[in-house]
Amino acid sequence: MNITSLIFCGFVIIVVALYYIIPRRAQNYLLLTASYVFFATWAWQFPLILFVLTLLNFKLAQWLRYRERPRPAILWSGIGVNILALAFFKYSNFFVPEMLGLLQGTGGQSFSLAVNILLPVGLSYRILENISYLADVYRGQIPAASNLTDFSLYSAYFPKLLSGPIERARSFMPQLTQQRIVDNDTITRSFTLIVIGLVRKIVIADTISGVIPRGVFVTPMNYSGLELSTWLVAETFVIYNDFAGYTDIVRGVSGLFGIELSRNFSHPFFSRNFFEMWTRWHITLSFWLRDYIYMPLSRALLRRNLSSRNTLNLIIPPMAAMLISGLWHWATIHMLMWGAVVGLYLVFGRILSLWRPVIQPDKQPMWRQIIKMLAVFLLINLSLIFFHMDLPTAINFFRGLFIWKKLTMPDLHVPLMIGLSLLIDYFQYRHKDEVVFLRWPRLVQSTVLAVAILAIFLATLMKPATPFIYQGF
Amino acid sequence: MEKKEIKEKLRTFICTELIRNPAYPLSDDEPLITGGLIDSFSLAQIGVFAEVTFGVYIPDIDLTVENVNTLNQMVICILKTAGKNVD
Repeated sequence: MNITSLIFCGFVIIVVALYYIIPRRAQNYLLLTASYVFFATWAWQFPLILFVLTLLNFKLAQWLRYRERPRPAILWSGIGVNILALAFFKYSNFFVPEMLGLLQGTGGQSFSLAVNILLPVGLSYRILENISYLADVYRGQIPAASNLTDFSLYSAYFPKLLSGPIERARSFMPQLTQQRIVDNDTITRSFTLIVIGLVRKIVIADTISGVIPRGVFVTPMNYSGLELSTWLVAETFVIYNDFAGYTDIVRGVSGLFGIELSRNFSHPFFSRNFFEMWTRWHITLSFWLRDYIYMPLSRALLRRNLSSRNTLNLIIPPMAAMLISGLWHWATIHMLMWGAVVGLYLVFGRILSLWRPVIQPDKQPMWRQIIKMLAVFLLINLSLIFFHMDLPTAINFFRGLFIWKKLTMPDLHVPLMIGLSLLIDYFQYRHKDEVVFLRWPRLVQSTVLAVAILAIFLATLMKPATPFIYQGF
Repeated sequence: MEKKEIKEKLRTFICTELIRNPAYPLSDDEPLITGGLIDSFSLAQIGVFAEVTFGVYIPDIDLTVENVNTLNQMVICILKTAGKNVD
């Protein structure tokens, strides 16, 4: 069940209606049942896998502390089990046939086993949530959950099931026990987020995606440097609006139940350095990496030498965090390269800043801020070449960028949609409010809403919605 | 350990080591992270500084914008973690 489909819309309407009819104490059971039903629409096996993982982590967390003393063996076993589950479901289809092939090649038994192991959608996100939950319980920062229903709902909650946001138990679980208040403001805000999300996904991302020639990221040598640069930038806006759109929609849906989900994007293309970019793009993943990889490593290194110029601290934590980020997306050489390149940006960005006093970005002249934004945007685009394609193709793509054999005008849809994306970001950035549109006069709000709905309708007619990119991770 | 002493030591450390401008007039309620003076990754240094100087371990989870965005908030966080009265 795709979340931009009419079936999903109907599903949400039914669940919301039931949610407000039944007593408060039954609401969590309803949400849990709805979540498992939603998951089963993807594949009947998925709820079973999710249930086993949930039960395992629920029990492990209860064994993590004995008489207030943490038990490291349980923690590491729990982390290991979660990583193994991810590796099994995500990579078996690649590794098992190769291993079988090797065994056949070495004269071993002949195998005719058909390997087809389904990757449960959103498993990578669930695994990060499980690890953070176990780590927080181990460190005594939250108690182990005592109610299996609430913990199962934390794990399976359908608005965040497919691609996050990666929620922490300490901010999500208290919402399950508190009184949830859904007033007119919450409903208006939720619907606004849903409309913004649909515009980002269906109008902007799918429209740009529809005009990008698929061959660009497969046979880049067939295109000129200008075409490659244009489509590379266009694809960056596709990924951004696709994922930010998804997050806005699910946060809006969740708001209808009075449960707040974390923000994942905060106008990332207005970042003036790479650390700022890190805290604005896929925020819940970035902060997960910060809290569970970067901070522990950095603190361990700083205990030996507290100086800002501690060389090991400048290099190891950002590189480790970004390499793990690459591996989390997909365990391939090109994703590892993408992680390494972004890690190097962070390292060099930090090193370059050490020789001058800090000046707040907002207090710098506007022209300097714009140059920095453009530089960060350009370098991020170059890193994304490794994100989009395998290593040999990426090398060809880099070569192709310098061959300007012909000049062609890009499809007019691309600058128009990029302009719209930047305009939405600009309003949100300027007013530091993601639903800034609600501050506008009623007439303007109504007009913008009508245009947005019409645009969503027309875009859907022109091209059916495509799956979300980050659903694949 | 006095509140004032903690604040002054933190102020000196932040201005010298993180802002790299010892003469910077950092006020008690000036937003450090949201104001762009330091990023949230520099909080690892503040965490270790608190460990080394005041003998207080602030968990990573508490080193957030909500908890330690200003000098005053940092002092409160350190005192709370040390189990002392913050008033």
